[in-house]
Amino acid sequence: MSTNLGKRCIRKSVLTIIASVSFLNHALAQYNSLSDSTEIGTTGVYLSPWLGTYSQSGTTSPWLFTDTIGWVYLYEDADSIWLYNEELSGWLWTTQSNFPYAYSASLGWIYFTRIAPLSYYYQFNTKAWYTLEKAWYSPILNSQERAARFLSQATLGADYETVNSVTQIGPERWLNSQFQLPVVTLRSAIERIFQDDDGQYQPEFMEVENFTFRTAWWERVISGNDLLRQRITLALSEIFVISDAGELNEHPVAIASYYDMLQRHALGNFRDLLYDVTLHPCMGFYLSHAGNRRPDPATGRFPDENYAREIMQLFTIGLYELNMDGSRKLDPQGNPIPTYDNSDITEFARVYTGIHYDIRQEIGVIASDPEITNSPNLETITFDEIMAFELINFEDPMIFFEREHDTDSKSLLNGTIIPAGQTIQQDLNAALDNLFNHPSAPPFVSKLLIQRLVKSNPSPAYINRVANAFVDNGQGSRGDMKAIISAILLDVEARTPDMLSDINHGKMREPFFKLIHFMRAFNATPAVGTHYLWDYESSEIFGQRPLSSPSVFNFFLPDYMPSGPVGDAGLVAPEFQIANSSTLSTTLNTLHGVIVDDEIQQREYDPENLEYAQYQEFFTEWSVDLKDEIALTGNLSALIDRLDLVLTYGRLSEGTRSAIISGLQNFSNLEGIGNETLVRLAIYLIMASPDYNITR
Amino acid sequence: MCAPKNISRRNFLGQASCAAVGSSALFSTLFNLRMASVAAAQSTPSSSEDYKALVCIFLGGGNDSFNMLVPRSGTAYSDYRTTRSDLALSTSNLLALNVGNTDGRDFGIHNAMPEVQSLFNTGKSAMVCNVGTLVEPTTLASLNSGSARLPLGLYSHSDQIMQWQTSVPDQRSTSGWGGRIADLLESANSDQTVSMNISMSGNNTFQTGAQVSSFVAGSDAEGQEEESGLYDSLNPNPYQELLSTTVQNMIDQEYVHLFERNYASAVNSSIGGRLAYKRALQSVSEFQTQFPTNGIGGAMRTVAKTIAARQALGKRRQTFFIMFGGWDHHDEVINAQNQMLAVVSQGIHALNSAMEEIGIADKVTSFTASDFGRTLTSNGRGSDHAWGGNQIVTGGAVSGGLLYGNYPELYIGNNLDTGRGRLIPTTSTDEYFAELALWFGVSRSELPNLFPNLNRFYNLNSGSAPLGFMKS
Repeated sequence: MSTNLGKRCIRKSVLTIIASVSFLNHALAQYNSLSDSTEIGTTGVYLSPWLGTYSQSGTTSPWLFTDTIGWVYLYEDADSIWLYNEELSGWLWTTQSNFPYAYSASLGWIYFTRIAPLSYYYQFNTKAWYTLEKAWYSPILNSQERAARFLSQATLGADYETVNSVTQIGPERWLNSQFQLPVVTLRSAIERIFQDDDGQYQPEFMEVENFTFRTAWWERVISGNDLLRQRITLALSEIFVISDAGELNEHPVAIASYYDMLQRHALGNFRDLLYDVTLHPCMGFYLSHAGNRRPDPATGRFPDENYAREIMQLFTIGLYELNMDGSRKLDPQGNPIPTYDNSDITEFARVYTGIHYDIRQEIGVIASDPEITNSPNLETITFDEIMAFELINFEDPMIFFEREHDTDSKSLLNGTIIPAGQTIQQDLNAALDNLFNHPSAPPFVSKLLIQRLVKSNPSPAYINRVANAFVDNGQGSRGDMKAIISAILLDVEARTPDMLSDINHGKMREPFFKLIHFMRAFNATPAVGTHYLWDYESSEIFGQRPLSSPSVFNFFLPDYMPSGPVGDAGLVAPEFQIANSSTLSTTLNTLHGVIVDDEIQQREYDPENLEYAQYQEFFTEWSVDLKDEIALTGNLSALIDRLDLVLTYGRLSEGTRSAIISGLQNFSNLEGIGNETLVRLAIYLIMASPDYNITR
Repeated sequence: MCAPKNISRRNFLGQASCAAVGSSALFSTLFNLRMASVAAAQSTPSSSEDYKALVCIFLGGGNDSFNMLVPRSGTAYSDYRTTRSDLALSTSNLLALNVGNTDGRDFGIHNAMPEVQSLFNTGKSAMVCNVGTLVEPTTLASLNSGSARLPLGLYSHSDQIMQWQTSVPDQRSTSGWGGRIADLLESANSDQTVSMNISMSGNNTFQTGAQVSSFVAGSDAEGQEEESGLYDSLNPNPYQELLSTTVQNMIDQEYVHLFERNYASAVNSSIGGRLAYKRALQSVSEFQTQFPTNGIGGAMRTVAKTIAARQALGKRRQTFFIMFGGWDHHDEVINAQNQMLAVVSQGIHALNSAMEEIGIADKVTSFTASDFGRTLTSNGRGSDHAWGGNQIVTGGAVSGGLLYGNYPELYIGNNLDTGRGRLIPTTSTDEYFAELALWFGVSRSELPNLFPNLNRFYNLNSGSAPLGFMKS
């Protein structure tokens, strides 16, 4: 844009505007320039297409608190907008199309930009950048608390240093630095940890209760610096669900391979994710499309419909056609429109035929076994024989057996027809493209991810903004996970502190993640690689255990409405589905054991005794670093301030805070309660509070 | 809606239900239930041993129940054999049922279920045939013409699991019929610290009402009494007391945020309920009956002990919910059913034996439910999602040894076959559950409040029961 625009009218109007200010106080501040703003939730915070986010102090005040330039007094006439800002000591002229460029009588042309947590302006006549010192100031959260709050959504837990680092560089730059971090596979960790005395990798001894996978996974989530990738990978594991609660429990390297696949695509592209999920043998086993065969009219056999259904219902488009804002499209009678019917499922089921485990290596083993006569070869082996010989491969992508594929024409959604005679690869790509490009996919997937990271009941506008990032990352590319994640985490509805006053905002913390949070927040030191946390009973205790869901429907459903105030208000709260009279108490008991009694249960990896790994409790190996907190025990208020920042981003209510402090005072009078125990009790009590258990 | 004034209690219930008939939304139905609950409490008889329990055994994933209850001879069996091809059981793998109301067909039960065979043949178990979610009576013609109103999300697990618990397949209801019953009857119980709805398997829709939600006992019967939790210790030490007080002080704060309020109240009832539950179960002596050592056996043991503790818990009515998952047998249906149906059979039998042991078998009824039946045709290894299926009802109050509803023909292309042997149910869940609700003590006039679509299947003014499997 040109900075010469409108200079003439500025001079004219500056005088008139100053003259008008006094009677403006009486005018209703119903600005035409803000008429297309949308309210974010029910906060009194609005998003304007040109001004960005702002809140209004009362419906009639001309004073607005904007995210970009702080407090402004707004005046408009037919062709100009005037903003009065105290820090810039005067009036700024701009228009809806010119903003964030503005003209000031004293500074000349300036340009505003916001790189959270701060706002800056560029002054054209001095060619320099300046910080707007007051713009970031919120009466609700300071900048450190804003950073901590961001991290409560973007990670599984962050320590004091990480909070300070994000305070310095802001969420955008932190996200960009996280995007750069390479994938560290669990596979590599397993090969490093599980070696015998000769330094040879020994996975097969450890295939009991998923020992190897859990060990590598705990190490990763507790000590990895790829905080964002781990958070997103776990979110994906609750959408693209496979589970070791069942036969896969005996294949930990396979589960690790699935997790690594999710890790690779967590910050990649959704379409690639969909392809690799579909061909991963764990998914092929879990949703039974591994070994799916073309129909056989002679015996009345039909293709397996399991994957065909769940990929649509749970992974991509859902049951009803959606608008971009996540609301259901309605037919002329006002009814929701089913996205597919059962005949669509039978069509898609035929796509996923002829896919089976990559048995090339296994078949070679059989061929070289002199005791097996008539050993099959890859070109002729039947799926019955694969089953009979128990040939499996749960780690490598499944492969294509064209002779078992249904090559007839298939009709997909929205009128797309696959011609007859295509290869499996061609059919598969056509089917996955059909789902990936379905208009419901962006809002469907966006809402699921928002629910995992930020809030249970996102506004339609929020879903719409994220869905648009799904459609186009700004460079014309669809399904870019980095763009989707940035859109979710940097969205005004996630970031503005004003949402804290919305009684519907936020979500319940996933109970299992509290364990991880404690370890991350206080720098748990991982063991030397021969121990792992004994989390086998977590499904009972917390109602969840990563990658161990009771079914493909995850631990909880996205539309679960709990009984109580949330359900009464017609809101959903998925995580409440696993918060019941049993798990709420056992979670409190177990967290007490971990945090206060320091009794994290572990198993020891003993290369000498691989088959009978000893079950022991350790008290030191996973130690946490509490020295900074212990130093504050002389001043309980200061101690709670520090913990409040790291655990609850400064949002502990007065009542909760005083209940904890008076509790701690009483505890300090009990025999045997030292300073470290007092700190641990403080952490525990915060983590037991409703304030902590709901992130907002 | 009708504005009642100056009315008798009987009248009042009549007025309240008129708002719920027909198209009224479930919300107003629930409102009516609230109004009716006090009156209903008074109408529940109060003899010294007025007690009843319903035990729901939910086979999550969709039990292939046309391999559980199977025609055993003649054309019916050969139709079965042809349609099911590699999934068909041989007659030698079917245990004979002495069906008292046979239509000429001969039936057997899966040979993993000898206990249920014996319960059936001694009149303690009955079968309800081809039952499923229906919005209205549905035929192949009405389905094909598109005129039939169908359940939402037909053939989908999550929807069908939900609707088997709500019995409102045309709405997304958050309350289950067990929860709606509890809204009505909980006030008849002398103590409400522990809900009358007790789940062995976590939160569920079946037991969630407008006010009443379930108490989750956890399925580990062995651990109930021994576990020394911090908050449910019967002899707390000073540390535990201080911890309880401090946590209680936190959750007693006035929270404004809806999620925080919800969380605080859930923690509150969890801590209080567990303490009371633990105390009550401690007062009960062990059963002679041996319970299977698997998860379902453990759950049945906890159910039995909770029933035995009914007076300590202050309960005249209780419901129980057990989710037994893993029935989605797109493959391995034959092997899996051999094992899993055995678990069901032994569990049902153990519970009934335990109830006989304490002399209240005629006051406890167990019933099975499942997402749906499965396709009669095979996918080469298993079967896929379908619709109608068969269920088992057991207890001393059951008119057993009989089949209820209509067992369908199993040849492909029959007049219920929507394709691949996905059968349209001929009995609705409304009829199945209304029968149980009536036995449980819900009055006839309250049925439309519990089951808004029931009148499409059952004449509420008829003198007979919806299906007749409960002794009147």
